[in-house]
Amino acid sequence: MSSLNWYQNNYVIVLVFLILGILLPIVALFLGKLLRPHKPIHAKYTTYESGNEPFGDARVQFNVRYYMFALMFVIFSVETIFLYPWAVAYKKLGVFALVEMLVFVVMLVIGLVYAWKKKVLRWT
Amino acid sequence: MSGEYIVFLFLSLVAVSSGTLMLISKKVMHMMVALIFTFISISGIYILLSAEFIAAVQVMVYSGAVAIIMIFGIMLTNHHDSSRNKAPLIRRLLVGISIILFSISMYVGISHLKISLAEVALHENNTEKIGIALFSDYVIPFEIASLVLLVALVGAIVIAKNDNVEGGNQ
Amino acid sequence: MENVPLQAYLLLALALFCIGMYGALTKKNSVIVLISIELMLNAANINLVAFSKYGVLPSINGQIFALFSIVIAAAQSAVGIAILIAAYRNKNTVNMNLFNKLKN
Repeated sequence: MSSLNWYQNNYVIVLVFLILGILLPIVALFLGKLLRPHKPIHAKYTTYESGNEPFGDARVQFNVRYYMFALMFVIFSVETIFLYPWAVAYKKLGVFALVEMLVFVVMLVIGLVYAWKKKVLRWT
Repeated sequence: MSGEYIVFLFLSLVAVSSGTLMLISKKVMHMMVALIFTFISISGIYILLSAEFIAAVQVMVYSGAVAIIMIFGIMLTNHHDSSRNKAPLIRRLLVGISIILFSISMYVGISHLKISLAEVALHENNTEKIGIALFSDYVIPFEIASLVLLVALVGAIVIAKNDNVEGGNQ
Repeated sequence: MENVPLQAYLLLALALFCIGMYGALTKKNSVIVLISIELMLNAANINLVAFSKYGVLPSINGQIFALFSIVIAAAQSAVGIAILIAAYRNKNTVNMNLFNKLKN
């Protein structure tokens, strides 16, 4: 068996896992729909708010602070994807790559410090 | 019909059909779910093309980070915006016709393409190969990418942060 | 054991690109337009990775290009959504056709 076939056969189990993961909630929800009684009354369709009377819509406007955290998440997850190949090939690359990666990380630390100074990381 | 064909057909069917679903669905959240399915099946395509690392990056960046940031964009802006999300018919018609013409011309180009296959083993130590190439030939683009990320972070904070309103609250 | 030909991947990328282009040109919600542009970028990435395996000179370079393209696309979508939030704050809408202040 060639190494390409071996590589591809490794991913069959991933595919099976993915399909099972997608099918499981679909089948569970569909079976639940088949089995449960269907008696809609108006009170059942209101939003559950721990016993209080619900008011407003369930989809309220989010605060911009949530976006700030999403933004930091995107930027630093992109940083992470550059760290992986560097870490895997580190032994063949040597000191030069270490310096390069330090410059890279320092660049993003500057961004983090900027965000900190602008009080993006504070919730209140 | 090898297994590779079957997997390719399955993945491209999922990708194209959920892309179409993204176009025709009414609710914005359904669009996002369809888009995430498209991204994950594209990462499967990358695995077929022996680009393991790019597939992992696709799952991490696109169906993780970009989808999250798009959902936040929808949540922050789509406040009771239930107006019809469609352009006028004449524009859709024109765009559709021109896209069909474009795809026909591209199809003609693709079908005449003849490239003899050369054997490569990109799937062996894929991440290590990418690391070596990235830190020998592509050092300058790598550093510029870090600069772009820094500018994007700072710029997005400056644009999105509302200093006028929050100045009074502190 | 026969491989999937290059043309099949190119056709898939073409289909995804056309879907993205249709969405980008006809939708009114600006977030949807950004999403469609991401789809078009993905189609371009499929082409890059496909040519890195089946191209004239197959090498790792195509994958590196795709990697950089993904990184830039992530930064671009972050800034795009930030601009959208600022525009929404000023005009209280995300409809593309109403962002026309430069016109007059």
